[in-house]
Amino acid sequence: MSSDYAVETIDLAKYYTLGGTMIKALDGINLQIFRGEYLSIMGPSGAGKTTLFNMIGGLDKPTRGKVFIDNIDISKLDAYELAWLRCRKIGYIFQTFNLIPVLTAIENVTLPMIFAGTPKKIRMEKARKLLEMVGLGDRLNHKPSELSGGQQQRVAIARALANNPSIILADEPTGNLDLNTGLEIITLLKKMNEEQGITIFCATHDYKIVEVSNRIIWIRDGKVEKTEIRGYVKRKREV
Amino acid sequence: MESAFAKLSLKDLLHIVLENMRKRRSRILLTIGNVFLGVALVSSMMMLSYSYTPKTTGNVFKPLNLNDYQIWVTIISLTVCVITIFNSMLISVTERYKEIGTMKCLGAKDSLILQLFIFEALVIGFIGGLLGFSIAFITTMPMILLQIGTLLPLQNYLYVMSLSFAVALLISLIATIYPAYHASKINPVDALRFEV
Ligand SMILES: Nc1ncnc2c1ncn2[C@@H]1O[C@H](COP(=O)(O)OP(=O)(O)O)[C@@H](O)[C@H]1O
Ligand SMILES: [Mg+2]
Repeated sequence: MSSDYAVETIDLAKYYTLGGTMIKALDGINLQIFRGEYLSIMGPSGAGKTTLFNMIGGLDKPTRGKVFIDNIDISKLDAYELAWLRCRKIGYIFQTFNLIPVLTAIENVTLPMIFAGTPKKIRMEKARKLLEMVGLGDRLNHKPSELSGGQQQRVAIARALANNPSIILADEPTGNLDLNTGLEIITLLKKMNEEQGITIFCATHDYKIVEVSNRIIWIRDGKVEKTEIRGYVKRKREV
Repeated sequence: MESAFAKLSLKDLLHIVLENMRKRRSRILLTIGNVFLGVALVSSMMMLSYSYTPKTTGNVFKPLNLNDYQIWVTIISLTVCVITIFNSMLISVTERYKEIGTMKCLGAKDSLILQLFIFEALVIGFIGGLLGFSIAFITTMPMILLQIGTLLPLQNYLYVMSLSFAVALLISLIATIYPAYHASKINPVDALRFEV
């Protein structure tokens, strides 16, 4: 297996049967994501972006095909190993932020580290650094309800970075944000990508994201429609 | 695969559970109230059963027992308690559907979600049991004083207290098993799709 890929999918397909008719949410996706790459998945609503996000994120099982994360065939993992993979190898960012409402910003960021068993002192320190990095050093002890949408998404980005994942998966990260805030989030993701060499997979129909991507893949009806390369990956991430 | 997860510390768990309970104060109070009522009923009946329980001679300890009728009332009221707590816990799972899905997505194992709910049940059971016993103790005191001119022997109270806690924790746990299991099996994909 070539080890240059953070993620690779082979003939990935997901079919749903709904009231007798079959929906091909994904239909034979072959995709390689390079380490350190900023990849955008564009496509209209219903194109299969979220389904692809779920498959790569190890959240759902494909009807056909395979997903490799860091050269690990994730179909071979049991529930326990999958939880481990989701905890350590993948960072998730959602359209609706999905922070835990009863926990403060810093506690939300420490959560994946709690799951990973990181000692308290280390994880609090790391969470504080991450929140400072995303510009929320003065909001550590705020609950999500006390933060704006953009700030909540920043917390989510910090949370996604908590366990030094191989890749960050984002599903329409700017979908619930206004234009300027959305742009801030995109810039922040780009900064993480450039400065830290973090691999980013971003499903979106926000054209602003196209500007910062190394590569854009358009999908429609579960198939790759076209690929556009905008720029080369600046720096490979050390692993 | 690499090393397994380290064990979650009890403190971290308890913190998440307590924050949750604080946020959902009103329903938690209702649930505690339920346990409290059940326990208060059982333990006050036991304390008052002194009048027909064979008297303690010297320091020999005699447990305070319920008669058949009281046992019947107890079973019915505790069953009602269990059903109400069960219902309240299920609502809590639904309310936290997305939150639980998110935690599972971030790598929480099923067993962790189970533990969160079991912990919540234990906290509720403990507080309910404590309140139930204390109130039963206070309200039965005048009657007992009137009847026998003194309080019951300490062992009797200890006996009722341990039974009260056992009953409180037990009904709270029984009512939580299914909702907790249900929560631990939430599919993250469905939960993330779920719009509130
Ligand atoms: N759980 C499901 N059951 C049935 N159909 C589904 C399910 N999830 C997604 N789909 C269908 O799969 C297609 C792709 O959906 P999705 O991946 O959410 O698209 P996107 O995120 O690009 O808007 C849509 O037609 C959608 O209705
Ligand atoms: Mg979508």
